[in-house]
Amino acid sequence: MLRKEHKVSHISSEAIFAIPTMKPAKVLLSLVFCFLLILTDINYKSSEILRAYGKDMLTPVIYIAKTPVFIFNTVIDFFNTRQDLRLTINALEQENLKLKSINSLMNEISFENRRLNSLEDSIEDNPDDYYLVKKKFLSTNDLKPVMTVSVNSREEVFAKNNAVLSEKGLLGRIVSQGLLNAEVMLVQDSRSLVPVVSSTSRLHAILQGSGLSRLGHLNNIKKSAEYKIGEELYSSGLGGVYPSGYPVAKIKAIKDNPDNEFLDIQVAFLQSPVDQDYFLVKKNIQADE
Amino acid sequence: MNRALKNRLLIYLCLFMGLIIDSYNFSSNFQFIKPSFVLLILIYWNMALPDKVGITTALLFGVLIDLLHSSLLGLHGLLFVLITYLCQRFFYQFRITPIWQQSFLIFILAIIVKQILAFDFLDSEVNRTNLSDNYYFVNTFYYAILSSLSWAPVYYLCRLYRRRWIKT
Repeated sequence: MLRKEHKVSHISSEAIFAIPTMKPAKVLLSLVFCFLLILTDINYKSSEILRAYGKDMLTPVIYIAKTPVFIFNTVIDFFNTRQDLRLTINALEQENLKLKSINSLMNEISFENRRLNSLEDSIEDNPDDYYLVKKKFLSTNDLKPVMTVSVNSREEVFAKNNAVLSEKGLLGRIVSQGLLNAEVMLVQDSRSLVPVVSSTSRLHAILQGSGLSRLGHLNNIKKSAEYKIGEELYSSGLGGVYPSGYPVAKIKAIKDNPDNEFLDIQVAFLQSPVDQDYFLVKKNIQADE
Repeated sequence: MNRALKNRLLIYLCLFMGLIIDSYNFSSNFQFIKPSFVLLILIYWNMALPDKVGITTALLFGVLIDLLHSSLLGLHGLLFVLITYLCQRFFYQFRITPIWQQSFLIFILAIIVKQILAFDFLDSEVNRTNLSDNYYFVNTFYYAILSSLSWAPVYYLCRLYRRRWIKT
């Protein structure tokens, strides 16, 4: 038994076997340290610099966690017959057809969008400005969802505030970048503010998220504004952070509360990162300049 | 190798396994209600061998979880330090209670932890200090249920591990 693990009774002179509790000073010091970390993060956003590099360090952990599933899938694939593979190819072909039809829809939206004052930006669009990234991890807090994507350190094009897109539209922007990983703040995040323009009424607004699987809302909309339910909202590009012309959300409900000086407009986001693995990152030309 | 150092390394290895389990990404909404195994394992070691696990361990793994889950840096560290202190302060009472009562305590603790994580530290919503809504509360409830159900397997597995590998 270690010396610190017992003390001697002054009355009976017998050993009292008790494990000493931790020192309150040490606990207080740790709490102060944690508070300092939190305050530094709140005021100076220190974690935005550290987090992606921290995730680079944790990359082996994420890969180890994926290893059993990878081995299981490989074994299953190995024992799959040609018939199974044929069925899989058929299913993939069907899915491909659906994706093509969605793509054509996107082209139509894009065309309409170009017609609506974002022609100049669309002409500047270059396929080389888009890079494919893979989802690695999605944070467990659905109110403040942050997605981690893998990036290639050789391609130096990734930078803070680059927009992240899915096939349905704008998904978020890069907030922290490391050597192998980048963190994406999603448009559904309650800290995210996206300048948007409505598809038919052409009114500008700021869209704020409320968490994943929740309705977002438009901030400070005057009661005289003529938004319509079902109207789509596109990124307006104001502020130079997000590119213009990408679909973001759709208006779901408009409430006019008598005790509120603004309209309460709730919107449903068009995309979710939960069941998707691959996304596109668009190089922010304005931010680079 | 020194026995104390070996024991400490084995405990760190166990917590590291918890971190590996926590870092698995589910492609469904289960991602938001899955229990935190690092927290459960940390509670176990605080209860079983309080003199071997301390504030430093709690702080280290708290910061690692902050990095992994992209939460405010220091928030999980703060929670883990507080939980470690409470566990070590009351481990005599906690250790002798039946497993179902321990699971109930874990249930309460999980609800508190999940609700603290919903605090709006960055003031993103003007009129609210807590971003929690009905949907989040339902998720909190499922998270607490899953954490309390996971407690028994974690407890018995860690005990098996301790008895097999850790010599005091």
